[in-house]
Amino acid sequence: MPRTSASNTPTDEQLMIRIASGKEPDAALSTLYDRYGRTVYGSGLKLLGDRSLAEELVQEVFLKVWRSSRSFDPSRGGFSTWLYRITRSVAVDIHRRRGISALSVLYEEDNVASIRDMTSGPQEIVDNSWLAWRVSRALENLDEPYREVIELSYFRGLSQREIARETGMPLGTVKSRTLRALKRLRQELGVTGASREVL
Amino acid sequence: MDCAEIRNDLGAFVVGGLEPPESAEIRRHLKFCPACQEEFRKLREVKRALDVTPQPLEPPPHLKKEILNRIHSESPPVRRSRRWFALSAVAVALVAAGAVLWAILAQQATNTPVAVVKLTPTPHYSSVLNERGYWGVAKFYSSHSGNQRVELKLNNLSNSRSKESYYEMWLVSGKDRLSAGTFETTPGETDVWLNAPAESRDYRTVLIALKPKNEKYSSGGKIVLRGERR
Ligand SMILES: [Zn+2]
Repeated sequence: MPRTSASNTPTDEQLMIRIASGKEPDAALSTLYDRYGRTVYGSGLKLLGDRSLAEELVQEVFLKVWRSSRSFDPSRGGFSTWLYRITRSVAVDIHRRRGISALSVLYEEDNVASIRDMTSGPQEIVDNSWLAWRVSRALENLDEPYREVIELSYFRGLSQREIARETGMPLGTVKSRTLRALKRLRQELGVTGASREVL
Repeated sequence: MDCAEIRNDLGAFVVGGLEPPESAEIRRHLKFCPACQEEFRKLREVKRALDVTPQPLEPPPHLKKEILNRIHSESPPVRRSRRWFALSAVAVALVAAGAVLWAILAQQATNTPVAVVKLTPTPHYSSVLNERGYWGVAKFYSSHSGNQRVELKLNNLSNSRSKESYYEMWLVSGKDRLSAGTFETTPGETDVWLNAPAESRDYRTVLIALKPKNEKYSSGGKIVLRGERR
């Protein structure tokens, strides 16, 4: 859901201030986890290609948020960007420490297996990671009906007919909602500063 | 179908959710309608952004509990810093004692290697390296932290022109590999110390890979040397 500073929903940045100043810091971290846990976890899966490494990443990232809360400076950019940087650097650390078994096949017995043959090296994945991060945030901020239709049609690959059958929505509604969801996503990406250079 | 009908189906079309005859009709329309093409182009950009995005997945529920437990055992950053002053005298004493212990342990740790592995050129590199007079070993030492300290002694591995590349040491077991770090060589003898994570103790194969400097991650490099730890 879009987060505004209105009403009693604190912004990410306000939550960070609460952690740094020790005002119900646990609850603040817990809320940030609820907002960003999926994004960090998804990035971990993508970057490290392995569930247990992704879990390790989530742990380390949120512990870093906790420990370095006072180094977060909202005037130098939003929380999401800061968290992305932490996530990326922790992922690189884990990658360096562990090697990535998802990238496996280090070498074949016969000789000089050049690992060049791997279709997409970590660098390439890392380079897409900022776009992926923003899309993931945009999806989180989408209203539930739109997020659902993206989930079903894009991520689960259901046809529009199948979605109509599964949800009981009329086919026409499924189609127009899919369209609107994509448009919202585009808007959302534009608003959060994603926009033209990549999209 | 007219433009309005086409437009309404365009989202479904982009994510591949239409039936084949419906898609065919859209494709026909797009061929001659620039206005709908423009709409299609915008939607396809969103779809491409989705292509690099991981499917939203709930992390396992125990994870949040673990994180909250761990931060409970740590004080919040602010309070921790205050407690630090109170404890600092004790800490100084402990650090001093620790340093002595560390020195003793470190000395013990570096005294005798737990394994010495001869590193031989892989077939592709054997003639050039043998000609150059290469020989080398990796000496493994245990350390108190559980990590392995590795001393690489490599002679005549590279000539002076190898400034554009560097080497990485890998420990391999089956399809798993762990990096022990990277290093550069000097002409003549190269003597470097690397650190391998504790888990790597059961990784028996040692590989030295050569990597170009300008592509830090895009390849694992070419395997130049290998050895088996017994
Ligand atoms: Zn048209």
